[in-house]
Amino acid sequence: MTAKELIEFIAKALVDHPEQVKVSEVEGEKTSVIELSVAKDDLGKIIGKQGRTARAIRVILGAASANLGKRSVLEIIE
Amino acid sequence: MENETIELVKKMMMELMKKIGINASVEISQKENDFYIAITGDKKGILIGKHGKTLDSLQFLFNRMVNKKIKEVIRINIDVNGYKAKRADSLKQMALRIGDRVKREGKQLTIGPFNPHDRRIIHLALKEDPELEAESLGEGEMKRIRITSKSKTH
Repeated sequence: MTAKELIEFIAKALVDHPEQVKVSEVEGEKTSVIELSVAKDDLGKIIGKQGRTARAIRVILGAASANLGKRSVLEIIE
Repeated sequence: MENETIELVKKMMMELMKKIGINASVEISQKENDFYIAITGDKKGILIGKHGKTLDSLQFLFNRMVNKKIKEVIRINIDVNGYKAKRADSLKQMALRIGDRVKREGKQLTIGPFNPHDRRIIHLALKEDPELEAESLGEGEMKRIRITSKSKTH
């Protein structure tokens, strides 16, 4: 598993335009940054009411990364 | 058609587990529009998190993902290695212990904060005792619970 694949899988399942989901990973020494961009009208589906969906994605990413002994941060590109 | 839904839910959950990096077996049962997913696997702590926080997020997110994919609205409950059943039991025991102390010492006690699911279990446990009164305090998802003895208030 890679953090990038995980985010891609989750994001594509949530949006109306999966073909416009783009994920890139910038690896740092200790922390990777996962950058996620989606179609403009899908942004709300990724973020959710009061940011609840985005928060849940970050919790799952954190758990999966910890499992690999890494740290990843999710950036949602607006 | 319902079997198709079960198959789809199972396939999505297996895929998600694989992406998270966990070897797990997934059992699904169904009662009308409620689906129950029991996950058993290695490294179960990773899926549960502190006080079940990861499990709550997993359930919330997975509901979103599945309900996007299918037409009918279903509700999915997820448990990992029986964690929720055990947690409900220990919350109930704790509520009853604190309730006893409130009655014995005649003072009020405030516990928490707890999420809505945990609060519900605590309130239900305390409701069985007519001498106790429980009230949620605060705003937002996480609230504290104040427990008072009815007999001592007058």
